[in-house]
Order: sequence, then structure tokens, then C-alpha cells
Amino acid sequence: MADLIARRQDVDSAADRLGQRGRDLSLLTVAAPSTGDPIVDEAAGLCAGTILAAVDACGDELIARAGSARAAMSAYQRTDAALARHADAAVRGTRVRAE
Amino acid sequence: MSGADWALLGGDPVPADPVALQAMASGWRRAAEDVDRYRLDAAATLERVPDAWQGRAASAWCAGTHQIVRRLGPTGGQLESAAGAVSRFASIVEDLQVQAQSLLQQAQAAQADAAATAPSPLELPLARTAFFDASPQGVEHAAAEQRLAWAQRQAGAVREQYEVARQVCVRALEQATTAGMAARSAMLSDRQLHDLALLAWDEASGDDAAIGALLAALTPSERAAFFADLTPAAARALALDDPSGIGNLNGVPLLMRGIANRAAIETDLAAAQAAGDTDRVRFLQGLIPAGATLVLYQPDLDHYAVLWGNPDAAHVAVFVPGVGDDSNVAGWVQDADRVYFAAGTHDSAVIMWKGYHDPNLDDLADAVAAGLTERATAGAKDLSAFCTDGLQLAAGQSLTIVGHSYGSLVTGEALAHDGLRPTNVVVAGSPGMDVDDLGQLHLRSDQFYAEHAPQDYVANDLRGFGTDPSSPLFGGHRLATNGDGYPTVRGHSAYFDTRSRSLSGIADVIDGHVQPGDLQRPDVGDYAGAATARALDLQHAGLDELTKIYHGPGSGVLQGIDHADNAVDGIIGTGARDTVDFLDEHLDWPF
Repeated sequence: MADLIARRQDVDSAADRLGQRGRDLSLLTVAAPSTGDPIVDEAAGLCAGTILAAVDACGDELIARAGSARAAMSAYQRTDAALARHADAAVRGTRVRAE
Repeated sequence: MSGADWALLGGDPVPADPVALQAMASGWRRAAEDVDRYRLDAAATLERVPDAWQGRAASAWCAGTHQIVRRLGPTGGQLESAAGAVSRFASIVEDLQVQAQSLLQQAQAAQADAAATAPSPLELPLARTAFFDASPQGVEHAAAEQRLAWAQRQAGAVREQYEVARQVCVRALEQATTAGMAARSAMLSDRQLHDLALLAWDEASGDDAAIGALLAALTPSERAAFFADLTPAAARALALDDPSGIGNLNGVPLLMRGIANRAAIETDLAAAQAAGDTDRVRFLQGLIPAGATLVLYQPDLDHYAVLWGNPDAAHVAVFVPGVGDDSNVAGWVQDADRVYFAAGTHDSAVIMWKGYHDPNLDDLADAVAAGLTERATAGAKDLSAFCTDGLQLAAGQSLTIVGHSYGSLVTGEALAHDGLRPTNVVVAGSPGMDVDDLGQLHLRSDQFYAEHAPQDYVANDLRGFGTDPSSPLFGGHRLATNGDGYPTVRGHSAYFDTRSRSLSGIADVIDGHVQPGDLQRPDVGDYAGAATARALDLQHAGLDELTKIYHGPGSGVLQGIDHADNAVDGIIGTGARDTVDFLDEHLDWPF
């Protein structure tokens, strides 16, 4: 049980860092000033927008996966706690029968 | 320079601003560096996860996340590549603008010279003469006009160079755009590839009821994947909590179903004991014999399944008993227990499955007309689902269905209509399987075995569901139910008697080692009886066909007549067989 909790802290910490990187990526912006040539402006705007959308999708996914890892750790802890409850009940039952 | 100035050269030949272009390229480069830094940091963070979190869910999660992080590499590279293209374009623009500026100055000077040497209005008539052209003023004027035209031509060449450079830059930007679109599309596609277990954990954010609701909503294969992802301790804990009756959900591992159902039945048992209901206590205790696992427990429906042995064994058999209620469960459990020990406990497992609703036998007319097959049809779907989704057998495991009595009718419906595809089938004491021959069950003859004991009133007289499966005309093999040195098997309920010939034949089919001695060759009486029943059946073949295609008003009556006719055919056929057998036994029969 103690091992699982310690591991949970490690995974939570990694998830926090990945989530932060995801947010960093999602907040990334690039300059697309007017260059004086509408044809270049259009191509540059489309290019920057598309690549940033890809980076943003990656950031969102990292944030979501960080959340998944935290939820998984939480669920493991829940089932482990449930196991502990049952084990405890079983021990108590044994004692009752022994008495 | 204003637009009016550039008009002299037909417009600004190099309109882009190199400073703005370089600023844009620098911004993109910084962003690319940021992407790369975040990528490396995320990758380094991911490297530490396996030390803390292991298992299938962890592997799936790490693999998926690594994939996402890996995709960042080329995406940042595309930004860098686009920045390079813009930067190169900016340098070219800078050079071309210097040239354009020089040309504009030359053009303006030429224009001024041309204006200064142009003839006055009074001299205009002379201007058309060779005299002016030959004059020093005229020569200077012509030279100025030529310089202006040259500057304009050179400006055109600069414009062309600019357009070529712009085209190269735009093409590079378009390529980066296409790559960006592909990267984004791939990332969105990756997002769909979340591993099931993690999704499950996410959805079940809190309590057992949420996990139970989620499991109930999953498909059997998804449930199997969910449980495969848990540690044994976690799976056991979840099963013990038994949220939303996971003990009866196909896809949940059978041993986990057993743990869940054991917890449920012990609760019911305690309640029955507290209420002093001794019959109920005896019944519930009978459902959990020593060493067996309760893999279906729905007491409100009278549906139960009990497993003996390891479900991963090489040979698995599902025993589908006949009609009965709680008072019959002990008998079914005993029969299945005997099958298990006869088949050999080291490499076989047997499951007694009674997951169908009993037909209404109180109203025989209704039962004969439609009730029997309707109930069997409903149960057949559940049987097929249990055998495929519930058992989740591996490729090397064999599956034998053993159908007794009405259980054989349920088995027949599952084989004919619900995609049940076992390795072998054995039926015993069958009233028929609602088909005319083996082909309708999608089985080969070496996959099908039938037992028909003497004086079995169900197999002999309760007919009306197609050809007798033990008939030589059905297409399968008939197993011997009696033999020298074996206890006598007679009637409808002795097929599973200990050490009987009928039981050993069933066990040999389950183990895949059918012996020649297991088989009973049909005699003249068998052929005579089968032929008589078939001949009589042919007389109302039209009615058979009509009941299959007509479902309108009065169809129930037609089905009733058809079933009754089939029943009569079967009974007469049985009579014919018995008559021939009698003659064979008591007269000097020539065959």
C-alpha cells in the first residue's frame, strides 16, 4: 500500500510537469506581421496558423494525458483502499470466528 | 518612396518589407526553439514514469504519450523550416529593393533630363522634323528617353526576380502548411487512440457504482481489456465490491465473476439463514459445491451457471440442462459434476449453464404451438453470447456443448440462428432441435453426436421440433447409451449416471477422443422409423414452408398444426422403429 502511494506521488508529479508543458504549448503564439505583400501575408498566416494548431493539439493532448495518469493513479488508490477494507473485514471475520 | 514615385516604374517592383519579414522569421524561430525545449522536457519527464507506474495501462499510456511528444519534433521543425524560407526571402527582398531604388533614381533623372530637353510648344512643329532630332537638344532628349526606358525595363526584370523569390517562399510556406495540417490531423487521430483502461478509469472517477455503470456500458471485449489491465489484487477488490452485478457480465473474467457472485450468494444465504428458510438455504448451498465457481447468478430469473475446473483448460464443455426450476438445480449440478470428473479434471472444465427462461408447460397447446421455440430462441441468444463473449476462449481451446432434453432445443436454436460455433455438440434425450438436418446447424457430421436411451419418453414421444437428431437421416453420429459391463441407462434422466456408457461417450467427445466403441451404428429399425417419420413429414411439407414465410394473422394456428403434425410424425416414426425392432427380436427377420 505504502509503495503504491509513493508511486502515485511520482506519477502525479510527472503528470503535473507534462500538463504544464501542454499548457506552454497551447499558449504558444508566433508573429505574423504585415509584410507589405498580400500574397506572402496570406501564405504566412495560413502556415503559422496551421503549425500552431498542430502544436496546440499536441499541448491539449499532453494536458488530457496528464489528467488520465492522475485519474488512473486515483482509481488504483481507490481499488487498493477497497482491497484494504475487504482484507480488514476478512481479518476481523477470522478473529470473530476464532473467538 | 510613395506610390506616385514608383508609378514611373510601373509600380513598386519589390513591395515586401524585409524588416517585417525578418521579424516574422525571428519570431517563428523562437517559437520553434520553445517547442523543442518543451518536447525535450516532456520526453525527459516521460522517461521517469515507468519507474513509478507499470503494467499494461502504464505501457499504453507511455506509448501514446511518447507518440504525441515525438510528433512535436517535426512540427517544431516545420516552423523552423518556414522561418528559414521567410528569412531567405527577406534577404533577397533587401537586395532587390536596393536595385529597385537605384533604378528609380535613374529613371527620375532620365525623366528630368527628358523634360529639360523637350522642345518648347512653339517648336513643336519642328520637333517632328529631322532638324530637331539632329540638333544637340534633340540628341540629348532622345538619350534621356532611352535611359528612362532602360530603367523601366530593368525594373521589370527586378520585379520578375522578386516574383520568382516570392514564389519560392510561398511554395516553402505551403509545404510547411501541408505538413502542419498532416501533423494536426495525426494528433487528432492519436487522440482517438486513448487506451481503454485509462478511459475507463477517467470515466469512473469516484465510486464503485460509477465503475459498475461504466462496465455495464462496455462491450464484452472492452470489459475483458479493462480487467486485463488491473492488477490481480485490484481486480479481486473490484469483484468483491460487485458493482452493478459485474458477476453476470460477459467479458468479465470467469474467476472474477465467481468472486462477485460468491459475495452476492453469501449475502442471500445469510438472509435466508436469518429468516429460517431452510429450503432456500439448501438450494443456495447446492449452487456452490466445493471447488466450483458460480459464474452466473440471477436468482430473480432462475438463471445460474456453475464452473468446474480451470476455464483456461484445453477442453471446455458447456452443459445446457433441460427444463426445471429451483428443485432441479441440485440434479443439474450433480450431472455437470459427473461430466467434469468423467472428462478428466486435469485438462478439462465444465460449466452448467441454465440461462434460459423455462417454457410455459402448463398450457401444452401453447407450448406446442409456439411457446417452446420462442423461449428457446430467447435463451439461444444468451447461450451463444455466453459461449463466445463470456468464455473468451483462446484459439487452442475446444468447446463442446452438451444439451440435454429442452437444452438441446436451445442449443439447436443457438447453432442455427445465433452464430454459436463450438468444436463439438452432444445432445441427449432431445425432443428435436427445430431443424430437419445437421446442415442447418452449420456443423459437420464429425462434430455432432446424439444419445437416445431406451424408453426415453421425451425423445420418443414429445416430438415436434424437426428431425430426431439421433436419427440416421439427421446427419450426425449416434453415441451408444448402453453396453456390456456398464450400468443400464433407461428413460430420460439417466444419461449422466456415473460410470455409464452414455457418460463416457460424452466425456470422450469433450476430450476429442471419440472411440469406435462410443458409436452406435443404426439398425434396420432406426432406418425404418426415420424413413416413416420423414415420409409422413413430406405430406405436409407445404405447411412447413408456409409457416416459415407467413407471419400474419392465424400464423400461430398454422404453426400449432405444423408442430402437432411433426409430433405425430415423430411418434409414428418411433412406433415404426419399435415395431421393426420387435420383429427383429422375435421373428426370423431376413436382414
